[in-house]
Amino acid sequence: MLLGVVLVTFLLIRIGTRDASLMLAGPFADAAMLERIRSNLGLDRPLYEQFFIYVGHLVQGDFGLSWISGRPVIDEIRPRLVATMELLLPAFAIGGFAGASLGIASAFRYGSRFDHTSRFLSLLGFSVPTYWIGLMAIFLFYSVFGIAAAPMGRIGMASFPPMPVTGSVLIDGALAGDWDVVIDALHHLALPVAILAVIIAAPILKHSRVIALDVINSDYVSYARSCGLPPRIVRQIVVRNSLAPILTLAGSELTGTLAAVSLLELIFAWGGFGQWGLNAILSGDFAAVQGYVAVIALFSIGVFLVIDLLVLWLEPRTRS
Amino acid sequence: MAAAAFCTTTAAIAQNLVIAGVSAPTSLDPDVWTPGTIETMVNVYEGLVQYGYTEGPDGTRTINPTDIKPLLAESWTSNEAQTEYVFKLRPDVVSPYGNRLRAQDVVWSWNLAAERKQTGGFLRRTAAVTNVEAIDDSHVKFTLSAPRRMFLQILALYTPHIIDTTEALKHATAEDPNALAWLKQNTAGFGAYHLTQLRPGEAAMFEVNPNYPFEKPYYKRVMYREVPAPANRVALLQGGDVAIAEEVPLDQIVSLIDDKRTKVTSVPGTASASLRINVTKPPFDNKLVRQAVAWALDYDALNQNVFRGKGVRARSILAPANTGYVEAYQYDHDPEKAKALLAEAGFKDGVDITLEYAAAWWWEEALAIQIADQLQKSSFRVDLKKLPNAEMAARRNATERSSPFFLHSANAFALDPTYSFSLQVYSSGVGNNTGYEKPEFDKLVDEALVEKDDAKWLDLVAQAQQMVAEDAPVIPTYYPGTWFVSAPCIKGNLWQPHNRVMWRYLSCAE
Repeated sequence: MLLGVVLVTFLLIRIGTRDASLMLAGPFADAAMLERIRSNLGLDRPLYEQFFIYVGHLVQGDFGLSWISGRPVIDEIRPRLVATMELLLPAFAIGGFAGASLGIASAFRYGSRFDHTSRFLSLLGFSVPTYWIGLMAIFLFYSVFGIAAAPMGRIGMASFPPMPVTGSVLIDGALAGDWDVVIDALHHLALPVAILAVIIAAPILKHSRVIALDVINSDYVSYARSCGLPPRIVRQIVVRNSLAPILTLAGSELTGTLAAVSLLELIFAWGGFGQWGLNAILSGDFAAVQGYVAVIALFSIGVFLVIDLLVLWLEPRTRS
Repeated sequence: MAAAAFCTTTAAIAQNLVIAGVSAPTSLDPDVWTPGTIETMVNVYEGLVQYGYTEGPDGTRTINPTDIKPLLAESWTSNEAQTEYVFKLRPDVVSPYGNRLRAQDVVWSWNLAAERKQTGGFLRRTAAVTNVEAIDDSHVKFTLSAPRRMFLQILALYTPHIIDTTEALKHATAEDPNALAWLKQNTAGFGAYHLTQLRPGEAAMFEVNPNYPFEKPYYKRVMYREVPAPANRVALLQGGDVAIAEEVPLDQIVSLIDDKRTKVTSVPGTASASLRINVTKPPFDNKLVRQAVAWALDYDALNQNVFRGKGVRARSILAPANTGYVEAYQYDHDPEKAKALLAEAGFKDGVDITLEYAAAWWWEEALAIQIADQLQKSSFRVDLKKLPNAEMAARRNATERSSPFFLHSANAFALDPTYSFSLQVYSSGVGNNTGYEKPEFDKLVDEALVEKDDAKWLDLVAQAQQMVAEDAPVIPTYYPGTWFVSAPCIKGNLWQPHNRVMWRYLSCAE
């Protein structure tokens, strides 16, 4: 699967987009210089040769060099991926839990005011563009109320970045015992995490509700009710049987959000993986784009593997 | 750690300049046009000379393009023919690494530019420099193939950038004998600032060169912060978290003019928003069709709808700041005249054309849409085609020149008419993306390049402008302006032709 992703990405960007040679050459370079730059980048070789060279390096963990910065792509990715995870994982935990809980609760209160309200909120979360919600949140909480941190990265200028251990400002600050940095990092995380959590929660809420309703209306739950089992036990049965499909859905959302988080990173100047990937695409930095897509693919594979294992554990029926 | 420099006491912050830019530099090579690079490197690499300037009663500073003053060089002489210049370097110019500026640094840097054939190489060729040699440790001789009025102006630029080779070459390798890889991520200039930390995708931190021999800049440290969203750059400025917000769209600038939390100043600049017409592609190979386009545009409406009434009408291929500027473009809105010209060209029933554009400049899409709409009223049937930035950049580049009709903005780094002519419309100009080739025009430029008599020179320059206006391969519309949006206390900004902010001139009037 990974090879397929690498191949398709490789072909798409080489056929579909312009490379970065013009940017590297500058507007005053002559045609001969432009060709020399393209030759240095290996772009004058046949496509299949470029692909085999790239894959040969890839299997050794070498993602190539970013044409724009000249640094190894893997060195560009590593700190940025940590920055993105610092944003994505807490948002996913909060949004996923909130979405699933509200979705299941709505299913139990089908047709009630609570159900309608949560469906409306879910629809809002679906409909409102990420970029708009981010900018509006900054306008309200930073410019008007003055309670949010400046949308300028992971910590404020007044804080020293802690010695990098994990790359996460929050964790490294805690490890160093620098609680000012930890508080500052949390302050900077609050708004983007809240926005991302809402974006993640919306589809999970909607689908969790549908999944839970299916389970509630199933024969075995009807049987459990008709046997006189207490509502608490029926709820446990519903939740237990809903978890596996909800987890599968949540895994899908997580992998999709890794790509979508780039817009939020742009707005909050987060310096994350998504923001870097977007810039690489716009600049035609081929190795960087390939690295970006490969990492997303690897992340997706990892997430689905974990989800599958969790489902295996939750659902004894799947073990046979 | 460099970040320690940005601690929070009021006094310290007073001398720390925080700038919100579109992108932190990804490369520190001034010859490479990656976002954030030139914005920062103009403050690291300085030239042998600089522009003199005047200061108005309100503190506004304006450069004088004909007044060139010493900078890294303390004096110079030239021969009668103005084809040989000998510069005496200041003995007290020392890099942040502690290395004195030597003639060998200048020679090596200029020869590297020639070898790389990029921006520095182009400027070297444009200045007609054929040889740079060290006479001794503190004297450099430039030999030109012909006299060039723009030579000293080009020496005032940040590139060909003068590198501290004593430091740089310590990092050379067999595969990289010029240490280009190291220079991409580190600075080695003799300018006012040097890089102390680069956090890719986040910020670049600079400090004053402790060995800078001139008046020490007010701002001891500069943080160039990446803030991609323009609305956030404005919000940060209004909130007092940054002192300068770069690249603010004009529709937001208009609302900031009366905002007491910000200060907005502008100059027309040298980059006009212009239509470029590929004269090799039908129907634009017919001059009458090009002129018809020029007459079809409603320039006032363009200014109101795109430039919020703040644009300065461009009436020449040259910027107004150039000596010798004349208002050669006398086209105004006359759709009937446009239709008559089209009919004369054989298109009385109208003509199909394609206007290509991208989003390289904030005004590009809005201007394309407005122009397409206006042209439709003069019997042009316009197919509007939006392309990705990288694709459009390639199509409008002079090496490919495949776009038939498009928008462009060329910034002239030297305020000399022959520079703009040579770049944009001379037949072999590296920026000639219209395919315009006219021997009579080239002859005017060739003569102007070497003409020493001022009156004759002005006449040649005027004729050249008139010829381009008549043939209309380029139709300039407006100068959107170079806008400086800052905290109210910031003063001293001195606009330079490279259009980037030079931090050493700035201070804060507390």
